Amino acid sequence: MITALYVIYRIIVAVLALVVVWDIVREKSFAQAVNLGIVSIPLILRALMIK
Amino acid sequence: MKNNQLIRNVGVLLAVALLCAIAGSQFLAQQKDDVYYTGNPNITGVIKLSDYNPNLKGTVNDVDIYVFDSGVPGGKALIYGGTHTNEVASMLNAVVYLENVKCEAGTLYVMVHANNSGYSHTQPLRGQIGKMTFDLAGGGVREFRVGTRLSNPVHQWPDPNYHLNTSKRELKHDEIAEIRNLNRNHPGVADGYLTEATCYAIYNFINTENIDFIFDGHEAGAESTKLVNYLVVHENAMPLGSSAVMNCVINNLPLKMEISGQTSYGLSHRGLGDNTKALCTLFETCNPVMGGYHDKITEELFKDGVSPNYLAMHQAGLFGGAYEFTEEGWPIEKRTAYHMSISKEIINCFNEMYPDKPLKVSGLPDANEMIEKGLEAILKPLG
Repeated sequence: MITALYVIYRIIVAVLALVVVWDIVREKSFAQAVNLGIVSIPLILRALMIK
Repeated sequence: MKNNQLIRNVGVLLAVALLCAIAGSQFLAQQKDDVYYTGNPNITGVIKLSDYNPNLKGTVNDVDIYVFDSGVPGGKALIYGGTHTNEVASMLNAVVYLENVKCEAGTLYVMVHANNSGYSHTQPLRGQIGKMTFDLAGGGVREFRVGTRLSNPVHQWPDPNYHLNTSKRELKHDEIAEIRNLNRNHPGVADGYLTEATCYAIYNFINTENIDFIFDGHEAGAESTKLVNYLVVHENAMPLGSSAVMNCVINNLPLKMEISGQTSYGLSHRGLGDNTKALCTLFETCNPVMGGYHDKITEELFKDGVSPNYLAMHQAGLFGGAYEFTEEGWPIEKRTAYHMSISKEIINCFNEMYPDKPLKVSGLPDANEMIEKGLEAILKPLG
């Protein structure tokens, strides 16, 4: 159960990170793109289990 | 989408990748294990925590326990540090034992990083340094990571919303992160969360090896007047603890003793004291890095322990003179010397109180010399 939750949460974070990265690509406002960039850093680091 | 817009957004992505690489490399460096000096010829064996809980095999918390078996049947003790990985004197005390000690009767076990996962990260937003460096008197450098009191979420995630652990401690709301606190989950669960599994391994180790007493090293924030320089003991360990503290007081070490709280669920002195035959002790020194009023957390603050904030509070009488706090602060060599002195005194007292279970150690450095010359003169060079 503990391992399953670990995997599920990691998948959720990875999907979120991908969604945010895709939003950065599509974003029209530079300020919003930078904002999304800041949000994506912890998501990417957690998806990779670095931090 | 316009081309220049796409180029701009790709630029943002490249910046994100660069920041991830820079930050990530630092976080990954923090996850690299410390190197110990293991050239002490008196080490007779190395066992692992996974020998006592196979669920730890391959995990970051499958740490080494160093065995000093004298070959003479007698008492058995476990000295360990690194339960809370920012409480550095406890870890350095274990390092001093590892590098110097010789067991002449009975068996001594030394564990340096009880919760190795905690060393792999620091607390977010705390602005704390991640390592301590000692330039050795005889040349060479020793580095030790400094972590935080909880296991790394990279190794144990997610925290549950509610958890009633084997210690009877109920974890909920803002206390839930304590599921990653090694000293809140004793005696642990074999197949539980990583921290619980580590607790179980320690519990099973104590039972399997028939450990007679344990010494769990800790440090406390400077405002913790009921913890600093206290030896906390399970009620079963009161005669042993009080004898050791009394001997220290006779030797001008201002130590005190406290009995383990009945509701100190999950702490080693309660969780292991209630569930094993071992006499459980826990010792705390003052660490000015900890506590709510700490100064900027630099390597100097960790090592020199000079804290203008806490000095001002002591001088204002806010702590009732519970213990001494001067301009010299609480340097790391003094805190380590305190840990070494009380643990050595517990061993000596155990040896006197239980003559049928002799436990004798030698080789530890002189505490006064440690305070005077610093750990730079005590630690051994690597390689």
